[in-house]
Amino acid sequence: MIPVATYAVIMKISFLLLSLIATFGASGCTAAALGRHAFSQQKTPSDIRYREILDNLAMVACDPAALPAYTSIFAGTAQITDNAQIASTTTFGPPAAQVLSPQLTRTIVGNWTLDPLNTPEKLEAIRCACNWVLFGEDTARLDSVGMLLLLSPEQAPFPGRHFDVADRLATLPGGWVHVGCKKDVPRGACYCAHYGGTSVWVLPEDQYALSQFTLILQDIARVDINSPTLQYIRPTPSDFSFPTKPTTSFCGNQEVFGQNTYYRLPAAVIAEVSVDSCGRLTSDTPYYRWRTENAGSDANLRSQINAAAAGLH
Amino acid sequence: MQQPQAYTEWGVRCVRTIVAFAAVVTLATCGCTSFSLARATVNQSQTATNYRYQATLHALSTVAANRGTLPSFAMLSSGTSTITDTGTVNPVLNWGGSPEVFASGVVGVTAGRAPSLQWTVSPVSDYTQLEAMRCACQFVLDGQAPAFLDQSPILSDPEVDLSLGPHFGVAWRLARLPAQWLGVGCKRDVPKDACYKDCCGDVWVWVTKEGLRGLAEFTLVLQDIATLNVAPSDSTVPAHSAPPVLVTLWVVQNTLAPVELSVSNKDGTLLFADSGHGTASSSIDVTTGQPIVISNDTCSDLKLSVTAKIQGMSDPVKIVEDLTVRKAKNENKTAFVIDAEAFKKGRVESGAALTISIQPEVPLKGSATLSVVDNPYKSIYSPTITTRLDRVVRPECRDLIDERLRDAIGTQREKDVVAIDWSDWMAMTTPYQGQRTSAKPGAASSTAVPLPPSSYRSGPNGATERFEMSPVLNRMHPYEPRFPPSPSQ
Repeated sequence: MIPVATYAVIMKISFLLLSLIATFGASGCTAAALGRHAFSQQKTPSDIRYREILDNLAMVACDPAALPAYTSIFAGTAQITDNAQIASTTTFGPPAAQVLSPQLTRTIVGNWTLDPLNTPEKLEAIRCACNWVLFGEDTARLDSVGMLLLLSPEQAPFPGRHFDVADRLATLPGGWVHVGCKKDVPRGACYCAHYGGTSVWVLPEDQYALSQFTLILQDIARVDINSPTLQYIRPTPSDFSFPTKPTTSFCGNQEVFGQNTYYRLPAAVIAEVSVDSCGRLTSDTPYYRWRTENAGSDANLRSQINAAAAGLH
Repeated sequence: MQQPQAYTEWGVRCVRTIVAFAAVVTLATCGCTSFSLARATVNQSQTATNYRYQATLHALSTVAANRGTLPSFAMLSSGTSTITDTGTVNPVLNWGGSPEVFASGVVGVTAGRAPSLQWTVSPVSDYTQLEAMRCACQFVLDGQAPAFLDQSPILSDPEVDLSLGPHFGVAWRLARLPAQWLGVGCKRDVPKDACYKDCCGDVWVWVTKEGLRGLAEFTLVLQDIATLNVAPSDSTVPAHSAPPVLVTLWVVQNTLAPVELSVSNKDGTLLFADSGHGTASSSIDVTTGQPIVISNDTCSDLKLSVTAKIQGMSDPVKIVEDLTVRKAKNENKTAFVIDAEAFKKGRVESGAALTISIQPEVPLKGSATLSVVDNPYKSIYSPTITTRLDRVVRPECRDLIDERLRDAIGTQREKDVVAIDWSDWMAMTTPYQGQRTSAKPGAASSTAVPLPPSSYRSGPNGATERFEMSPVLNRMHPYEPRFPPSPSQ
């Protein structure tokens, strides 16, 4: 049994020690907690991608024409702010009183910066890929525009973008994603999503196929939309020079050369153009539909956003 | 007097509670935050589709209310998903009366969560994009008549529609939109099962479940217009225009006055004469690149060639191939140039001058020769001045130029000068002024950019070397002492 007086003294000393530890030793504790927090946060991107993809599959399963929403995450911050303070108030009596009020505060901030897809080709390609895995290749081929996007530039030698993922989609096993209503979802499903009364789910044994499909969508999402690897490269036009009817010189006077002649010489006019393989006039550079990507591909803008986000906290 | 035993037990419980709560807050909240962040991130991501549909409907409602209004449309450019968890433990301990008497204890606990989700939106601001979006909205609101697309060049494919102005190439997307997917009316017309609806003033637009495919496809149209790079920062061609068909006109003129010679027939013998003085010469000084003009004063066409005698070869080598100097009054002059290579052959290898030979055709007989000696002191002058002009071929004139090019190349045994004169070029082309550059946010000032040359053609130095007047070139250009109209005329 501890006497009351002794207990009170121990308690005071304990709080003082606690305050001292919180004040001076908290940095180590904060660092450890930050490490745990960052580690915990870095474990989630794969899970986020899987769930995003399941959400998109559910949306497309409900409405095959729906536009998917795929957002890749490319930056994040994990932040912990600890705050410890102690306040002591002494009241001189009678009655005398002593108030000790330590305060410990921890603020944990987790942040992901998102990079939503905006370019229509990427959205259409992802929609067609979702239709492929949900309803089969034959159904996906009904969307001719989407299929052209999934083929490689060599397989579809036409102007436009080609993401070259059709072969990889064809290697995915059939039936790895299940579609039904909410009550059909088994308890053992590792991932499931619901949209408008339609549910899709993936069983643990099909996790590999889900991962492969995730890689395909990541491939589509993260490639620069203006990458030349997506384009069917057209033949470079040829330069072609030919003489045309002569004209007079621009100066129009040979006296500048001290010759003082009474006539002006004709000046040869040579035209230089670009021609295609058939010899027809064409532009010197082929036409490509260059697009503006979203902020995720712009390093400068990305750093500005990160700096602004950091400033908020 | 308070019971010491009770205070002791209470104090122990108090300390245990505080320690336990602090441990929970410290250890457990980290994983909880990450899990919630992941969930919030997925949820935020899924709002993009809804946002795009709503933005599309708003653009439609704006134009539906007033066909002249420009729609506003903004893309999601980036986003942040943030979870802020806060835990506070705030115990208050009171000692009353004396330091040994523990009076009371209060534990204040505060836990807070502040999820912060953010989308950064980038409004479409280029005037061509706004105009194209309005045009696309009008197409939908006017019943998607195919004729509308034919009358809207801004929506057509830039590679197909060669007219001037921007072309966004979304006509094919608009043409495959399903019919009747959008409802327009007043508020009471909006069906209860409308999936998406928006209004501008009294005008409402809505989409039911049957129209979702049309909404998705039209959203792609607006996204297509909005993401096209219409203001490239590197002064390249904006993506709403096909690269122009350029023609580079090199105007090459000699800096030296020509040496004029005439060939006359005197008692059946051909003679060279200096046109200026009328005296016969057996040798003339010519500077490299200086034109030589031969006029035919006889009554017969003449064959002219320039040869060099090279050591070890029995026959002279032809430096300039046979030229015909016609007898016709208006075509009785021919000009040619002897280049440095020809003089080098004659001077170094044979040690003698070049020879101009004239061979008459019937009825004249005999021949005349003239030695040509290079004047090396004048050769340091540039023999030519080459100026360059980049022009854009008018789309409607491409076929005409193609045709004249084929006429000159295709059917004749010998390639001829393409029948396009300077005034034709000016009529068939427009000035090439480079690409329009757009103002950039945050840019303090901009400097004038010199007119960029077309992408592949070399500068004036290369041009001088490339287009130095050569004998072959001059063969194609009969000498014209007349005054053709200057470009300014």
